[in-house]
Amino acid sequence: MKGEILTTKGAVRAEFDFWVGLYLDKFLEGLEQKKFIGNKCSKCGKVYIPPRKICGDCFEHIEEYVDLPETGVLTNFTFTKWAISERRPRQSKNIKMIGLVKLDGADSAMLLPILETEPENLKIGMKVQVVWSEKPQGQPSDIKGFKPIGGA
Amino acid sequence: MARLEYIKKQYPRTRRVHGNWYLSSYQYKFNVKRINQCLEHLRMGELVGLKCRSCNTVSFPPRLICPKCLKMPDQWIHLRETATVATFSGTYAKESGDTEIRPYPVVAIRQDGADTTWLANLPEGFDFFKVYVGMPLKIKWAEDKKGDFSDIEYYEPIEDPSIEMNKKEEAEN
Amino acid sequence: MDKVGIVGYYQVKPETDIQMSRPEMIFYATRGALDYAGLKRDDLSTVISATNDYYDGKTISNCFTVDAGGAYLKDESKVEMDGAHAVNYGLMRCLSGHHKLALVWGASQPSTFYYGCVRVLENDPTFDRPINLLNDYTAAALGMRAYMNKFGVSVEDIAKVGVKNHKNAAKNPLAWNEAQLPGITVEDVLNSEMLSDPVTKLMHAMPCDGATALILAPEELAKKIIDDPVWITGVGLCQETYYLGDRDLSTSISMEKASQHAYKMAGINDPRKDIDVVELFEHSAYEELILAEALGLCEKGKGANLSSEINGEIPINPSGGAIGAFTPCAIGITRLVEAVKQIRGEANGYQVKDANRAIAHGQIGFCAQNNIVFILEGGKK
Repeated sequence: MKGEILTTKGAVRAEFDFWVGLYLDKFLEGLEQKKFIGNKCSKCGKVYIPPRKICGDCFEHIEEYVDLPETGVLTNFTFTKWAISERRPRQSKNIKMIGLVKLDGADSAMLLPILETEPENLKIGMKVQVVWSEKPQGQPSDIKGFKPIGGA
Repeated sequence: MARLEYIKKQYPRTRRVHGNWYLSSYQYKFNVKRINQCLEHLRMGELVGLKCRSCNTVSFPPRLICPKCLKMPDQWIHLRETATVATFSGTYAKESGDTEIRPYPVVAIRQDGADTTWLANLPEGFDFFKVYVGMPLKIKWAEDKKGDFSDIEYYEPIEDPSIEMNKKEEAEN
Repeated sequence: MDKVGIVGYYQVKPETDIQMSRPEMIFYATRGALDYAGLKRDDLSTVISATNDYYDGKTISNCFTVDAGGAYLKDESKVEMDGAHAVNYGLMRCLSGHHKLALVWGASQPSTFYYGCVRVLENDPTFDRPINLLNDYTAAALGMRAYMNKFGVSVEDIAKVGVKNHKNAAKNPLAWNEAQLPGITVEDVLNSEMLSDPVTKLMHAMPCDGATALILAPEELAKKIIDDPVWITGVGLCQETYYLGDRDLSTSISMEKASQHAYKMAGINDPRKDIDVVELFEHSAYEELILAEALGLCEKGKGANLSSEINGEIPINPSGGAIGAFTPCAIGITRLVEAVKQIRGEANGYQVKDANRAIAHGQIGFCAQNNIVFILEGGKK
């Protein structure tokens, strides 16, 4: 059967520039000053980070911004050697650690890299602290990741 | 102008995040087995179309599936070398080395004996303004045949007896 | 509600690298379904397809497959979700009274692109995508760890689901060849390649090429077409938030709500007693346990104790499930088809005894964000 299928390569390429919107804009502005900004639903009191326009539970506009600390709790994690790539499946040399980090005082968690530790040391519920990039530019990449408090 | 100001006031611009949709590794599959017979005939300088047994539609180039009957046509029939222009359009382009933008014809051709059309070439430099619907054509085969559709180098216009008849009719009226 | 029956189906054998062009593969599915029901293409009044532009590498992917899908000069529409959602669409069209016969098909060829890429492009483009950490492997890993951590379930318990589904797939001639592993053990699953800790390759549904089609008909018409059609008596659908950080990944609230709606519609009070067989779309082995719990088949956290083999108390995925053959887009329709086979007694080799009422399920999104549940019934009881 082989050899009878003709394949043609197709290049699909589209470039986008997404306007992030006022809410994420505020968050990114905070990152530039090495600060976490979330927002709080006035009805149910849930604190979201990154800030959202609408509380999914209450279907209400959220207007109140709150500052959040640089420390949080690791609520879930995984590690993989597979690169998360858009092009092809490939494995990288370094194992990448990924965690859901819930900042102290927030009700939603962010999916971010975990740094400066080994996969064996990761535990759900461990305290973590942010690692900022040297020159924040107001991009999501300003958060380099989170590291365990006390350098575990 | 007023409208633009309104947009500015209502929607302040925010930061942007870049993203892309990049699928360079996509491989579109095509099963050549089903049209191998057609390609073999092309190599020999012959034309065959696929005929659906239930609705008698003949497709050239051969189609794998008859949309009307939802069946796979499997009857190969020989077609003549002549064809007609089913419809046409023009595109304006500048070829390399050319200084002028010139119109080029884009022609949908129906092979005589087939019910479907396809886009094929007219001789290079053929005047777009001389193309018309119903123009008779004949295949010009390529010198070295490779067994694919590039074996049909282009379609050559042939003498059209209907032009003379039309002229006669006009003169009589 | 008025009943809608399933009168025909066909599934193309899933393969790693299928030796067919895409329209050809779809043609075999649609033609097969029509032949099963003994119908002509002209009898159809509407066609619903489940395809995805990303999976097909072209925009408006259904425009290219009109001929093969049987939609030439028909009222055609497309669902860019799982096949089960397309069945729901077809069901609604049948119930509207404006359409008689609905052909529903789903197809994709993951051998032609990198499936992981599509999952990456599913992310929120303004925050999650620049950070680039979420794809199907890591999402499954996060869900699995959340489940294990909350209920103290061991990795072995989840690996057992992989073992069961691979063994069931070995009995199903229409499962993916590479997933048909009759002699598999828990150790094999645990020692297979680590995708993202703790998910290993044999616990995860790996994509393969395939197409599935089925035909829906309103009650009166269905009875005329075949003997003992299988009826859709209930359907429920529920959508959860996108943000993984907002959700409790150890359970599936959307599945709970979807199933409650479907049970109510079908008049089911105790699913444990009333349901004979369950066909789930589990992206990863742990999802089967979470989804079974959300269906009310057992208590939360006790999914691993459920006797879900083919001859068990409540057989789950006797066909092998998504681990047995994961054909994106077609998978949801395949789940319905497998449930129909069980009810009609056509599941040769993996038949559940006296199956008359079944659940078929489809999902889409990270960690089963959106769930859809169908209740299918035969006429035996």
